[in-house]
Amino acid sequence: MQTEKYEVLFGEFKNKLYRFALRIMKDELLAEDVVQEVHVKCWQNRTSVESIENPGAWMMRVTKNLCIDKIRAKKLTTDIDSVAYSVRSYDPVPDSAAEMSDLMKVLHETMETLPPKQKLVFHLREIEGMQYKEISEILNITVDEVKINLFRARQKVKDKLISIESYGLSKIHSGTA
Amino acid sequence: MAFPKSTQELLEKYWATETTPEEEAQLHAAFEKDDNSVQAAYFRFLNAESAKVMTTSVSSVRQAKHIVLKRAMSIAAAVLVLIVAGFLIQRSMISDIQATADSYEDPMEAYEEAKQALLMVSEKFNSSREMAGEKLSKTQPYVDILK
Repeated sequence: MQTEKYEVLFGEFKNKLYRFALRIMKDELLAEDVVQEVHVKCWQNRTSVESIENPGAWMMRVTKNLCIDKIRAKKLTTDIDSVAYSVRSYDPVPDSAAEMSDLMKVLHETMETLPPKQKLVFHLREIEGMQYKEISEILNITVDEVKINLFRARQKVKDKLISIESYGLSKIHSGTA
Repeated sequence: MAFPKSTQELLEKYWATETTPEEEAQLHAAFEKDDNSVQAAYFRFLNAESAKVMTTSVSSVRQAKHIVLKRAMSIAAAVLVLIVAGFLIQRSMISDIQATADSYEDPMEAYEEAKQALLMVSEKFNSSREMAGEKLSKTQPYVDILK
């Protein structure tokens, strides 16, 4: 593969790879390191990348595997099976912008507290807009599993939105909802 | 908040995981205009997440080549060190074996050589003992004074 062609291809997927690595690693610097390593790995395998039907899915799979390797190697406390997150205490501010920002934080926390498989499926579909087949290839699961995990993840998000609508953010933060 | 029927229906399909990516794009567009609902906040949250970009640039292809070369060189260096170490260990083992191996074909000849060597050691040992005896006898007067 020509250098320019390769650079265009990698540039196209760079941010997707970064967001996916960030979702798993939960650390911007580590996510960037992973993307650099994916870049080197892709460059080493550039001749085979050309013949791959879906290079984007392949790069995402390489990213996922590298993230898991890094987590295993460094025994990070933020591994993908860990779902312990602290929810800060809510301090009501009569400002709609602040309220919206808090709503974003609650949504972020909701997404982060999803089980690992649901979280990755949710990310690939909702953030990256990928097809079920692509997701199944990246995560090495069946299309049915993708649909089930996405359904469960969306139900959890839906329940959270209903709770926010019914009880308001302050109740959600204080855990009474 | 009340949404148009079509949006509401699409939203129901979305939560049931029955929407296509195109229909999901329609939902994103529909809620982009809505400011207050939690559903709008949710779709805005998804849009914000998908807009996140890597702030640092990845290394250029030239740098990637350099990294690959550096890695290959470090692997080659490690292999070379292992080969040299293996060679040195093997050589020292061979020389040890050679040093301990028999150097005489004829046992009688070996016996004679060993006998000569032992005689020489014995001779040297005896002369040393005599010399030490002489030196010690010279110290006897001092020993007597100290008694």
